[in-house]
Amino acid sequence: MNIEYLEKTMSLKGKGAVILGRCESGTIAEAVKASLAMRDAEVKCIDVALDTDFVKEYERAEKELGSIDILVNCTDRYYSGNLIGTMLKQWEESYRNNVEFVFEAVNAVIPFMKEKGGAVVQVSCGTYAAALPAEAPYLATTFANVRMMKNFADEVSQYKIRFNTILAGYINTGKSCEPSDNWIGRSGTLEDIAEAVAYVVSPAAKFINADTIMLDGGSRDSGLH
Amino acid sequence: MDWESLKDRVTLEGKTALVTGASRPNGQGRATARALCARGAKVVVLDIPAPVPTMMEGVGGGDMGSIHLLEETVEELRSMGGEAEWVAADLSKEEDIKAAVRKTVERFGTIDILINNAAVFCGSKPLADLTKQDRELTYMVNMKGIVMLCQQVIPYMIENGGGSIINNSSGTALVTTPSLFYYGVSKAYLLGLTKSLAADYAKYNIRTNAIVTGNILTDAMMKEIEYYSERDHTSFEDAMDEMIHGTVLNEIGHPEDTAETMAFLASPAASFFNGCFFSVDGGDLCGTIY
Repeated sequence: MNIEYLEKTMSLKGKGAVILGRCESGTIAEAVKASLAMRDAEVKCIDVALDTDFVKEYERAEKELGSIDILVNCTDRYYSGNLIGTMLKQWEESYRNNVEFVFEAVNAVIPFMKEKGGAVVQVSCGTYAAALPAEAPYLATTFANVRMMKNFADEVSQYKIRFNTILAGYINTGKSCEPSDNWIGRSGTLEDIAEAVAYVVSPAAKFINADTIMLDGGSRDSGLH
Repeated sequence: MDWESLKDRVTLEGKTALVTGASRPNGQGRATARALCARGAKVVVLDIPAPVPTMMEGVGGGDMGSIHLLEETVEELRSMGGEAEWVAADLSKEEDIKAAVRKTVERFGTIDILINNAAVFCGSKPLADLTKQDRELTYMVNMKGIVMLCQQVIPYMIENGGGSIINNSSGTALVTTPSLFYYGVSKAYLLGLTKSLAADYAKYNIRTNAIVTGNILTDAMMKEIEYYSERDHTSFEDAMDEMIHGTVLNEIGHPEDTAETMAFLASPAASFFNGCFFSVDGGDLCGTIY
């Protein structure tokens, strides 16, 4: 391997990364943290709640890391149920957690990235475009999220901030989405997601923007993706 | 960088890659060959041995390969410390494809990575100007040529326990683009082929993915910009500015941008990617839901 070449394309040295989500063993957030740290990023995990004051959290993170160049949101929550069988309260909860929360988290980071640019990655479950039965409250929010990332990319393109979504298929965390058949014949791993995130935020991926990246081993359910 | 942990995720050491359309100095194929070589792959670069006469009046891809440029590419890869060879082949000819695959396997034992990069572009023209010759050449290289090459390569991948196929498609496959009618058709065909190969050969540990590229400043793109500037009686710089200002990031991509994504998709770190369309376009498809 030509290390000099690879360092130029992969290194995150000097970059500050904030990961939203619980960094503990067996979580996507923890795996992403490890992959970014391997590439020399300074990483801070923030365990967030619906009432998190993102501006205060990002101010603290900026002091600690030196800058916020990367934001990875791993807080996606899965909600099952069909239209009628799902209580309105759960529809509301799904919206608050997966749409409004994401908007607030991403919108608040823009001022911290606007001078030097940055990369935002939303990690969601890949039921997007799948229309599997009994996932209505979740599927609706995933579509909304994909559109949100693309709209952010379009609206604030002048700041050179890239916004991408990774849609993961069944990942063996024990608490992710339901297992489904895929062509590759295995579940995904936390490392699969983490490496995809690490690639998308790397210097090599500087022209990848507003993308919806399907990481599911291949499936008829992934539709056009 | 923690190379001890990262090496197993990114290395392509021990792998052999065949990259088509890989001779031009600032072309997509050569950049991809460099990216694969940097990860330790042995690389065989393929291109047509001489310009295709019917393409000489066209704009862009397919008419500039040569043995001299192939040799130059191999020298560049070897200067990076890599192992490399070239093969000359016209992808519209099955006998050429068979000979190229045979030569690659004779030299390096098998093919683990296939980069279907080569394509012809018969110029920006509206439907009324599209000739049968344009359609036939686009079909023979961009569609049938890739099918024939995959037919020859996949048996080696199966025998070898797996592989990775990466198809270079285009945003013109997903959004209707003025004057790129048949090119878009051929690139959409390639996305369909990607999904089918991903479905049919994953059981052999062969992953197939596609790149959906936007405006990438290759030699072919430079020729296209020259064409627009002549057609519209503007300077090259103005034509370039117009193209850049039409992009979301207000910038144009470079062959390395696509090359790195191809190398990533070929790597162990991307072993769960299959049937994926990876856009490398600076966000220019953000108007779509794709």
